[in-house]
Amino acid sequence: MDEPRPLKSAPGAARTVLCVLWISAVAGAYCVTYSSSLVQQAGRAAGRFPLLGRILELLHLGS
Amino acid sequence: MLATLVAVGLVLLGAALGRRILLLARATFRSYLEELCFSAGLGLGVLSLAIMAVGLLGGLRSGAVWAAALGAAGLLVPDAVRIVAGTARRARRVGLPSLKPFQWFLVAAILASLACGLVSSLAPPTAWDATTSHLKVPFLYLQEGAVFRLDDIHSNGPLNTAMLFIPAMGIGGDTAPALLHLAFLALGGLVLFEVARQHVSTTGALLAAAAYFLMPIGAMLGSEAVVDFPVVVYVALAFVALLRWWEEERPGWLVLSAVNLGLAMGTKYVGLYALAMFFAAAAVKVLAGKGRRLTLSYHAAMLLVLAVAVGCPWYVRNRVLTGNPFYPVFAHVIPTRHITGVYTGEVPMEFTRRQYPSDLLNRALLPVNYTLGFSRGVPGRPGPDGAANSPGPLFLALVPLIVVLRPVPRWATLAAALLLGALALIIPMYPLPRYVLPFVALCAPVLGYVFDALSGRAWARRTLCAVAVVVLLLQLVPFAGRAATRLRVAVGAESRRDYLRRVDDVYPMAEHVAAEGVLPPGASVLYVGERVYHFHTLGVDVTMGMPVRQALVEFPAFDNPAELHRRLRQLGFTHLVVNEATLAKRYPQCGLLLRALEDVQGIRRTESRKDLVLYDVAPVLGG
Repeated sequence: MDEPRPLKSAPGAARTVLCVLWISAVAGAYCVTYSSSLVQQAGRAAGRFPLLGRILELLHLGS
Repeated sequence: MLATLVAVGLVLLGAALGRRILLLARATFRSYLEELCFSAGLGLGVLSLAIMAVGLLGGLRSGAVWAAALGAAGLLVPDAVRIVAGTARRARRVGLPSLKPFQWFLVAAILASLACGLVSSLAPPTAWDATTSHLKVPFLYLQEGAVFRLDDIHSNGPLNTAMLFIPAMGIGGDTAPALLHLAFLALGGLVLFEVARQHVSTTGALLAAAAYFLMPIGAMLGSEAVVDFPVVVYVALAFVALLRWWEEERPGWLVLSAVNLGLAMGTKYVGLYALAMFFAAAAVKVLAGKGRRLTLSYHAAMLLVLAVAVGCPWYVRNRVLTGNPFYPVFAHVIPTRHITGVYTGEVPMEFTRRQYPSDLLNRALLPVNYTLGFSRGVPGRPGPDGAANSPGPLFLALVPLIVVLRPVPRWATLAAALLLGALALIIPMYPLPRYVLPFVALCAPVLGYVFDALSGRAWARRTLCAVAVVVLLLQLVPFAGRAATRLRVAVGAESRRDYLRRVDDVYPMAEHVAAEGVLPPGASVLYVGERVYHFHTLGVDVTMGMPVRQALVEFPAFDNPAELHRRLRQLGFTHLVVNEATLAKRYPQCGLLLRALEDVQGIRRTESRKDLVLYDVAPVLGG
């Protein structure tokens, strides 16, 4: 199969930039929230990072 | 090992059976993989309906039935061997394709997630859903040798997959159902990969498959004995068939779509939403088909009738047993037997029902909230675990972009429309990502299409590849984490008993009450805690009574401890096992009622293990 499949009308440069920015923003936000969740879980398990837990709670990311 | 063989054997026999049916129907497919997926889905569905029929007739423990089943399986063995040989031949022909580094990464990530899933599936089941219903109900059916009415809310839903769990558990033990569920996850991935492969580039198709296989919610559910991924498979197959009908207008495809929708309906109530939306899609095609509207109307009507015919057996059973085909849903409008006052609306519910916030901003932000974990739909309690329960950020990042890309292919529009319909219809009533999972999964090929569309520019392609690598690596973490905690028991370095003592709060008490002499003969225990454990080896299920939710929705119906005591005795319970920590945390009113019952000597504390306390229920109320 050809790589990539050509579209009849490829998106323009500005649209491509916006799309890539959106994708990066979503992926970045996910990485931050999920990583912080992992850190928080690990911290809770170890009984550490109470301050981090408080900050995340204030940001509505904590449980 | 036996469990794995049983799960693989069931899938192979299902595929062989389905292939025979499709050959008889002279169905033709675009590829071998497509044929294999349709065969496996159809065969497993037919198998589940056959087991249901045998169960309703009370023949699950009949020697003659098992002999007949073995005979039928023997007849299918040559077909199964042909499938294995055909697959191996094609794999050899393809050989090691010259994949690019990013494609290799995607393949490796998919294989790693499946390997982790396999390890996790081999551990004894401890998940709430699996132990409370999906294993317990078929286990009791197997024990009784029949599909019969249980005093258990979970035993009256559509149970197609639970039927497959019966032979899986009966032969392969309590880990086989989880392995079978993992096989459904893999089958769903193959269906979606094949859809993507036919419409987008190899990289796009692999990215679509990787996004599906590495969904964080897949890490949570894929390796458990639940029924979410069979619905994903049936809805995906129905979608492929609907697309083909849309393009070719051959009624055979709509028959195949209807059968799969019926199987989805018979697996989970979510299938009803799928039927409604697929019918709406067929209606759109009818309206668009000028000059052929009458013919297409017949097709759409056939979709509805056939899907209902295939999916209705469980609904008919519900109607007969409880008066409500959708038991326990709609109990407040349909007169329903064997149900608590909370479901009928006669008794106020004590605990807050999970509900997605209804304000406009939260509705608009729903995909963001669910993906990034800002909310799990519990008012006032946003939590980070939403990220762990989500389909993953690649869906959110790529799928909505079809709005700004041109052209949008019909298949992508249809997939996105079905997802939007599901979000609008399902989330207001059932605000958990797992209920819309089948429709989210349909959008995996769309994700590959958007990737292709943006890959025309080298810098954009490089950026997208980098983003995908980082995200997928992060998404592998929960798979690896689950596998790491289960690896020792999976490879036999830790005994099942030690593993359960280590990770499970119910096991120590269940082990205790199962020991000889702890409970008098004929004792019946009501377990009031987070869940009921399914102990295949201990055989404690029957003594552990009904799941907690059922008990808890019952409790608020009583004004005083005397009424509760009377109800407990009426139901035949002689003992209570109470998870005090759970009650104190989640259902304090129930805890207070039990305290009051203890104060008037209706129950007496006898033993405790971890958070669990064993009470005797007094024959008559003291005090």
